[in-house]
Amino acid sequence: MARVSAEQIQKDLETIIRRLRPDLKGDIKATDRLRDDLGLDSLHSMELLSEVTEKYEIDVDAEQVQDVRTVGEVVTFLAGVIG
Amino acid sequence: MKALVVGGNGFVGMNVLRALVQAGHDVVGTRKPIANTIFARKLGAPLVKADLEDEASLVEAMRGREVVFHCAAHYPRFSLDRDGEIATGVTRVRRVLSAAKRAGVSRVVLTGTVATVGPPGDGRTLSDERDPAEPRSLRCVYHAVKAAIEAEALAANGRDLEVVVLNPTGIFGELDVKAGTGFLLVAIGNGLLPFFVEGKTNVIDADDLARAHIAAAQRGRPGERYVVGGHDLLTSELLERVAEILGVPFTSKPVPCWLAGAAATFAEMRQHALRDGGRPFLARELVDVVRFGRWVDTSKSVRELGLAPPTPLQTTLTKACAWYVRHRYIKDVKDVRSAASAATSARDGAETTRVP
Repeated sequence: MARVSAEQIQKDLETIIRRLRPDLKGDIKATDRLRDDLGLDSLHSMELLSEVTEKYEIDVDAEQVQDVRTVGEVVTFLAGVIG
Repeated sequence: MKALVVGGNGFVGMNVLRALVQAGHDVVGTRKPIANTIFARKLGAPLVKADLEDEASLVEAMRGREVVFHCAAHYPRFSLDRDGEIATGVTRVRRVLSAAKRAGVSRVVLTGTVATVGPPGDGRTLSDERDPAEPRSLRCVYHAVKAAIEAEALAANGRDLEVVVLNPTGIFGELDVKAGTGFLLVAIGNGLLPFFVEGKTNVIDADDLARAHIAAAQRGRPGERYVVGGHDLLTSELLERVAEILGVPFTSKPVPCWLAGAAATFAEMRQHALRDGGRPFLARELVDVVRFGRWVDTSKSVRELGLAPPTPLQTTLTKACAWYVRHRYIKDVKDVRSAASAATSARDGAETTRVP
């Protein structure tokens, strides 16, 4: 997998989040919490991480991603794995 | 066999997929276009995108497959629209069966439920395949949907497609990503089960059920249904045992069924009104399943499918609890193995003393 910038990861995340929550209005910020701000329950959050790891063709363990709480933390985690 | 598991990223589907891979079969799983595949991707079988709303995608996935395991029959999340949920369930299973015929599949094994099995007739004490669903139970949305799906599937059995139905009891085990029946274990572990409804239940290990699927594909008689279960017990016994395994206090109180039903209906209406995609704090279906719970006679499955004796209950529940703890569905229990091993030793000791 080629190196992907943090900006690109955030953009891709936004696309997937809007697919999961088509009713979501306004910008999605790095500080947004997946559950409290974006309304993604734990199953949605797993779908988000699943989608994005498939897109970048990386394999993660569920345990690795269960502590991420915000969009920024997802970006940091993925950048760390890909980069 | 060349098999396809429809719902290959769901609880039962993943267990069936894993059992097929372990038994050396050529298997592919389907997953929805947007789905959590983090667990399914690790099972050693390819996953293809297919949607129950899109028959062409199902036909494509089924081409070249001899057997289809339909582990994704409609599971109504809410019990507020009986006719709508039945229509969804029937339409989807019809699509799967039609796709199977078009793709040249020879056999479909449907994962049904014991909810379509009624009280024991002819003076028997245990329910089996001969007992039709109790008419009263069909007023419940979950029961009505599942009965309609099963009837549709069995009606499709014929010369060009063989259909076998499995009727599993309460399924517990690993890979329960959505914590279906396992919700009870998770709730006990997190101290979030203030009350419960007492009633008959039966527990089957997800691994045993997966092996039953393979046996149904190989030895099940076309057009037949098979009750597959493990251990008969009461809800309170199940919950106490789970609390013991997790090392948490069991403080839940029994409440009458009508009260739990009313609370569940309120919870569903509230969640439905929120329209945020979340799940109600109590599902009506869980109450109805206990209300019409069955203790079962599985001798037909043992005889015709050649099933081995069920996995010990303690092993099944410990395995399920360990999975929920490991994946932090249960947050305050750190190490289920030490708690479980202490519980097992205590139980084994107690059981040993009863042996003459």
